[in-house]
Amino acid sequence: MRSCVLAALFLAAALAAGAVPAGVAYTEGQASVRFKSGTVRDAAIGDILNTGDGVRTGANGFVELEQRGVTLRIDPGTVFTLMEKEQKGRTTGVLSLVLGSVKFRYDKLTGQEPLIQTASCIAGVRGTELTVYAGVDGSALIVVEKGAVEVEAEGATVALAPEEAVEVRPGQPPGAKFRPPRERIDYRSWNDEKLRALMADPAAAMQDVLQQLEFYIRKTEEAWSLHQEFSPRLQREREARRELIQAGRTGEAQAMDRDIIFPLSLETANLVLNYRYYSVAALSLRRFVGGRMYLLQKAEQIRHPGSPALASFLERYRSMLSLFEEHIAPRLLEVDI
Amino acid sequence: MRMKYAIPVLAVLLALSSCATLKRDERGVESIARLVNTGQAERLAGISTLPFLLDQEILVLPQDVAFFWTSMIEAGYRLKEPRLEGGSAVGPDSYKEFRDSMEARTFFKKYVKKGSRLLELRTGDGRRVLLLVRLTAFSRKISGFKGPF
Repeated sequence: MRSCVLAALFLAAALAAGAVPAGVAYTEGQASVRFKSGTVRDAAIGDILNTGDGVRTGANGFVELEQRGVTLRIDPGTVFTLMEKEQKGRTTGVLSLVLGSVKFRYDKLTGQEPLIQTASCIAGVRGTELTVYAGVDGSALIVVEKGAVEVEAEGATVALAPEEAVEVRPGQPPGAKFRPPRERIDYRSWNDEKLRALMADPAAAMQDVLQQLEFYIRKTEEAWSLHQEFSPRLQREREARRELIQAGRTGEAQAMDRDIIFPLSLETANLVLNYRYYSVAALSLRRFVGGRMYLLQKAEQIRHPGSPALASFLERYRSMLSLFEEHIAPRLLEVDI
Repeated sequence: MRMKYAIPVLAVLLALSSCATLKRDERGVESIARLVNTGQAERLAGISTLPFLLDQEILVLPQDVAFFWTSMIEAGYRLKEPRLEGGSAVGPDSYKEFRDSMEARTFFKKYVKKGSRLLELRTGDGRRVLLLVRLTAFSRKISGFKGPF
């Protein structure tokens, strides 16, 4: 099973147009690179990151990444990963930010810009300068400085023009757009505000995470069930082609390859890419948003063991764990953990 | 003739070795409890591994592990009158003590080093705590904490 997934991912990668590696151009303070293999090491100038690799910065860490045509400034306290998914039949790079903030600066737009993903939304870039903030509760704030950006969540889209911003809570459509302050938003103050709201009503915050997780589960299962249909069909077609070759009908076998097997292989590989993409996104949500909420409430369990607010939070947290373990964990690989 | 003595000698060696392991477990618990009870969050974070298993959560960020110890100590958490109830070498099913899940299983498989032990303590208030540790003559490392439960 694992080798099938790896083979499909390899095929998807080979056909990828949007998956572009990124290089570490500058680093300072506490910053590490986590490779897809699970290896973690201090970030160093010249490190090359591919799909599945990520950067984590500590309280004083900073990393500048360069990808084809875009510079990413990764601020302290950030968890950032390079991902990819299938969109409109082609592989598209996804820059995933789960926690912290990243400023994106594009030299020029090619129309093949990677998507930007947070725990609560996905943004299509049509602009050249924007900053994305991801908060402790899974909220995202997207601020456009130059150009245009389309932000999508829960089926609703908001188009942002220069000097416009929008905030999105997990499991919710984007909020109303607004004009951000002229000076750069201070991530810490913005995040502290999110933290205060979370601590005031942890159950409500966990409810938002649950809703977002349900979205990822729907998407994962959609791609997985289609993959379960396509995969045996592909095997049958390959078997039929083998029979044609054995019967000496090479021309028919070649036509079958071109017209049936190749498109079917591509679609099957894309389905693997998508169920992997959504399940890994769900893991990030569960670990860096839901899991950190649990960590924040852990000391509260010592301070106020019988508090009704805590009980309500824990009930939803347990639902998150059950949903995750039932629907997402079976789609994950050990390297993801 | 040699065989006649081999079995009792082996039995004595085994008893001595398990006695030494028990002593090491007890010393490990004492030293970790001392750090908790004297509020040394920074030192606790320093001997904690990354990733770290907290209940069923895998903490991968160093700031999160530091936050865990600091926040617990600030909340007044102490290991009062800790008593070692049991200690065992980590085995294939040890992850279930934390949670019977794919994540906990993978954590144990990928990140828990050979020679690690699961120590179960009971504190003065009758509650239990599970520590996942690796204790050697030269160092002690905590890779997991569950409880109090």
